[in-house]
Amino acid sequence: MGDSTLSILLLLTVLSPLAGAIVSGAFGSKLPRTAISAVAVGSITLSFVFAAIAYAAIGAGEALVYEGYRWITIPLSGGREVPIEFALRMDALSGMMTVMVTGIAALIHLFSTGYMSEERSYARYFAHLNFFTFSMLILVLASNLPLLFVGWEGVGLASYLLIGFWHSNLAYEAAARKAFIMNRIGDLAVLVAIFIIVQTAGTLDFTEINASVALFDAAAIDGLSMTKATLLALLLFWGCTAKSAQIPLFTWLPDAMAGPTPVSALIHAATMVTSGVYLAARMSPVFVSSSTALTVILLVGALTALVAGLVAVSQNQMKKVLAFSTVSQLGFMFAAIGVGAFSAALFHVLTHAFFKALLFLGSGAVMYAVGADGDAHLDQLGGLRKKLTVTAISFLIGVVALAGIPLTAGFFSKDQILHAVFGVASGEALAAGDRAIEIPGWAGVAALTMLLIAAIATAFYAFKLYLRTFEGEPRSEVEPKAVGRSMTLPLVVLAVGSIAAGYLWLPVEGMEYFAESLRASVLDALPVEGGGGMLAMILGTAAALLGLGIAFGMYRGATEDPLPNKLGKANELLMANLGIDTLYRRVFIAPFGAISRFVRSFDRETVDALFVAIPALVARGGAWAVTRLQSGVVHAQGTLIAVGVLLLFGFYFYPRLSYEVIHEGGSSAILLPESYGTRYRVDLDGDGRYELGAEGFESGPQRIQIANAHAVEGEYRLLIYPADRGADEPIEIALSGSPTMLTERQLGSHYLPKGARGSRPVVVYQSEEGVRIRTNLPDEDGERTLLPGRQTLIGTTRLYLAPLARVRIEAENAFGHVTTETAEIALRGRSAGSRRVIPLPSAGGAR
Amino acid sequence: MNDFFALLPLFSIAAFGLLLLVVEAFAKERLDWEILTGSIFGVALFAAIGALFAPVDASGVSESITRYLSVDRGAFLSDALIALGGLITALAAGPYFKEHGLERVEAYFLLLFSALGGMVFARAEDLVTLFIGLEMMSLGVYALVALRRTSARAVEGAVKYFLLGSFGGAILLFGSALLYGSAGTTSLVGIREALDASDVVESLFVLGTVMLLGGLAIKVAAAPFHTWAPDAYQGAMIPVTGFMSAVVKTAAFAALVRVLAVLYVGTSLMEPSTGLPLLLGGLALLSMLVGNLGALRQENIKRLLAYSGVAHAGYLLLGVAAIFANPEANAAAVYYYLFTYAAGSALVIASLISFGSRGREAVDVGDLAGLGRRHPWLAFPMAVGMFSMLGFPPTGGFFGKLLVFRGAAEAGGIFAFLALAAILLSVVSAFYYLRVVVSLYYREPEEGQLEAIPMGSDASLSLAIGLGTLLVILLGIYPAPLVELASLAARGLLG
Repeated sequence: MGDSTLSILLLLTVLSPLAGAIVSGAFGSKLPRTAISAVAVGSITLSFVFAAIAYAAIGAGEALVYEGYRWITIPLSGGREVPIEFALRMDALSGMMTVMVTGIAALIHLFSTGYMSEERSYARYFAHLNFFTFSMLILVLASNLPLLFVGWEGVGLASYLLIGFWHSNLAYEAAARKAFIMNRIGDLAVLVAIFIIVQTAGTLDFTEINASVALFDAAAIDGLSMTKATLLALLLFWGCTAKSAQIPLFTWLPDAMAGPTPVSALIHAATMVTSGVYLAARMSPVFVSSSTALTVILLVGALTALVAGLVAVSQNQMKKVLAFSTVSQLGFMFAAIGVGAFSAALFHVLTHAFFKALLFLGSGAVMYAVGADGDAHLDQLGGLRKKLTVTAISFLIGVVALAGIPLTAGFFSKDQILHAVFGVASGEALAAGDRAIEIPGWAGVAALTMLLIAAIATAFYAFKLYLRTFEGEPRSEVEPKAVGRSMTLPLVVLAVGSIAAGYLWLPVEGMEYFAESLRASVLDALPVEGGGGMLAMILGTAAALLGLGIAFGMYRGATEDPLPNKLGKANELLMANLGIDTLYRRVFIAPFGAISRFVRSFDRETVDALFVAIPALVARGGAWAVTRLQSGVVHAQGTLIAVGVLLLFGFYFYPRLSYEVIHEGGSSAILLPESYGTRYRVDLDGDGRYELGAEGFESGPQRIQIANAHAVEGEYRLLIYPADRGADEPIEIALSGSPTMLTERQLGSHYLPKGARGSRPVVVYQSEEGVRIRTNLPDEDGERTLLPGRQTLIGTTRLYLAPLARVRIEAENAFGHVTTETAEIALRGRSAGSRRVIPLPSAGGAR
Repeated sequence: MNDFFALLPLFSIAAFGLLLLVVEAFAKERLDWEILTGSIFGVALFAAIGALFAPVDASGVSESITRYLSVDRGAFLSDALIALGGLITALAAGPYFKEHGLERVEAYFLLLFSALGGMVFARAEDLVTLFIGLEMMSLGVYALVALRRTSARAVEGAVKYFLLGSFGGAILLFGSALLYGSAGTTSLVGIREALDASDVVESLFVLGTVMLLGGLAIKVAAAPFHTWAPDAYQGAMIPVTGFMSAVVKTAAFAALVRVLAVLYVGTSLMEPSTGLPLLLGGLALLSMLVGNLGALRQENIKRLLAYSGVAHAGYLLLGVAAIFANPEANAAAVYYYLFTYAAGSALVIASLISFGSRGREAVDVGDLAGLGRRHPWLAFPMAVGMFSMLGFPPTGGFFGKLLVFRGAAEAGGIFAFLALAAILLSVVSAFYYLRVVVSLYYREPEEGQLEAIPMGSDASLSLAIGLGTLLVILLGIYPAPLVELASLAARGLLG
């Protein structure tokens, strides 16, 4: 396709909400509310229109690509470069997500204009909400992982800002932080996954990654059976457990209900939390490459669906029920991914977006009507149907869809999921493309069981929610406010969607396009032969009806909630989310806090004392001394200056003599530096005749070679070259007539024969003809004589007997002062470097 | 014409200054002296910058000039440096004099001719010119310090400054005499030729060298020759303090770099292990230590600036010492540093002037409490100035330090160690610079303490502050043009 005029639509889809966010954010305080509403709702609606046109233009298996610009280039080892483009890509998958996100977002923005009408920070709210939509669109339209990650982080930020929208409430603020931190834990895994992908495949573009999944079949780590595909799928799923609130990182979502209700509807039910499902679908070829990872995802998803569904049963606040219900439904989606049914999961994303947004907005309308702050307690509602007819009817439609009663959208999508899991449980062979998928049958059976129980619980709490809110007698004396048109209109639209969206999946003439194109855009795992059967649908319907029946039986006509009595302790446990929050607090937060406190106290009491207090003390002392120097008496100051000048004199007046001895290429030399006004005279052999400056002092720089002939007779230095000492200078030992034991350090234990360690095996002493060396080492001569200028080996350590030169150096400065110094120099000689047994650094040493 | 252009910055100050003197005699009412003085400095600055871009052909300049004053790009850069410092301090001085009723027209002429002396000093090609320039500059400043006759502290500061300054002048003169005695000429080039031909009396030569450097070290207030600075800085009126640090110190450094470049660079005296670099490095270390430690306890900002000036002299001396290693780059680094130092200290002084009003000068750190809240537009430039003095990015001071310290580190050996010491001591300096910022923004006047009341807005003061702030930030974020100019100047200086 690549039609450039059409592809501009993608850019406009993304930029329109951003423009809205900038207008509301930057100029919101100066604009009237109607203008902010118009900008906010208008920009999203425009975005929806652009997205819809673009979506309508692409056919099955086609994609529309907007090529932006080269964003960054990642250099890899070996000179490879990975270009990252700012490019947007819409295929059936991202197209469905884009249309859904913009459509639902437009409705929720509209709803918000009524719901938030009494809010002071009206502009800030819409700026954040528009920014969220922008980030979400970047996420779904990104053509590569890094750009997706930008959106991924952007929605996280928007979520944080909106959960903590009423930031003067500390509990809300804490909820926002919790959501943000939990998401960071997930983001870490996504980042690591990105690194692995770029290292392995050398690309981050989705199309290219999906085309090169074969590369990921290699082992992740040498000697480990886990493949890179498994590792990647698990890392990405780890990221999803945070963003899409799965076990174990799901506890932030119920707390996230602290934000305004439309936020819960948009971000924490319909869109952001499904981005994990989107990511998995986007990279479905990677996921289906690993049956291990799929099994893990299946079990975690089913368990999440079950646990959250049961917890939702006992909750008695509207938004809390819906929050756990969302977690549970996301669990259904991941269970579908776990059996490779990506299109089924996505279909459920779509239907769920309708009915869950509807339910949240409905509960928002209820809260608005009764003036509930934060959340509405079921014990204080009831009988609202007569006052809020439209809300009640649309809410009932949402409930029916959530419960999965036949002929609603929820029924169709849930059926798809149960059908797929049923297939695995009944031992059907699956394959994605030409790759067989092996999920153990027991996992399928366990998952199916959990999902069916979850389905019963779902129908139960859904109808409980409706009955306790709208039926029976009012349990509160508050007279409900009327709910305005801006709020009921979205409810009606969503209610229609909650029924109608399901029929998109039916193989009806002219409608199959949606399902087919979506299936074409992911790599589903399909039964190898036939498959199907109606059993899954019958089981699912039975579960929904069972839950419905229990709810009616328990709540019809009941004024008090009979559940706490019936369940007793179990109810309390469920109310408290099975104590998982407490567990996390004890296991993670408390130890982390303890470590932090320890580090802080260490920093304060030890680091500060050592690196702050002591230097401060020194500085203070110095400051005191310097200020004391400043007497303020003129003659003292003058004296100080005079002393300073005298010190400068001293620099040239005081005789200084510096020289260097260098050993190079087996010979030794003295290097006398250039120094203005300084002249030298050198007597190498101590015979009173000067080898340098016989005619008078000579100025530097000078280099004087010393030969063995200059050595003093009968005096030596023993030089030890341990082989393990690298390029270091040799160890120099002065000798005397009495025996000296060589230490292990001097000899270099590393290369000594094994038996010799620690026994101080070598004794040396000076004798008339040279040096006697006595060893008790195995494989060595017991005793030997080392002559001057010769060398011998002990193990791998070389000993050299160096002749000693006593050199007299005289320096005269500009004022005629002469300084004399005598240098004792062990002459390393040419032979010191010869006859090498093992490679050694130059015998001349480092220079 | 070449002769004229070669000396244009000096001429413009001398000619317009004298004209102003005449006008003053006939003026019936107050003229805007600070604007007029600032304009003269501005003209000199433009002349110098123009000459930097379109250098004068030295071969076309009469020998009677080049014998005594250099006409290379280094010379014009030092002119520009001095004119810039003079410009900002003159603009800030007028409002100060008016506000505090200290208006004396002499002050402006003293500023002008003192700066002229500084230009001669920094351009000197001859020992005699060097001394004349030094005295021309110093005498004006002695008078400026003493201008507030009614203040005992000012008179004390002036007398001390005069006595110790004369001492310094005498040492420099003695050193010059020894060099003359050793080489038989007062021309720097001539002395260098004699040195290269080994046609000097060595003992006299090293003594002369040491005393010449000692005299210059006194003028740049390097430790242990710094003792005059705290009293003189504190006794002087605020704008004069600014002039001492933005003009006198920078001129002395420019002169030091020139003397070193002409006389010694490339000779055995610049051997790093035995010669002057070692000596300068030692002075640098001592100055950094004394300056930074001394500033720690100061409450009076003028005194604090004096010690901070000693520390900066230390950093600069480190750069000067490293000239042996890479003459062009390191001389350029020193020039760059001088610009950032002149701009930074002039900015600090101008801001300090803006904080005070008649009868209530704000000179102590505590006086600044709460100004950040009450007068954010005045406090911000002061904070910028302090950050630049500290060498914090993105201010000019950062780049100055970066260039100088890098030059020293690359020189290796003991100089790398000194660069490390300089970095560590810069960390120490954060304490006293940031204390001022903290006082501005995080402190409130204590109970019973008088609040600082800034003087009313004044166009020329705003101009001075604005110019300083702009320059300091510009030098920090876009250093390339000045770095380029500085290395051109260094190339010119080194011939």
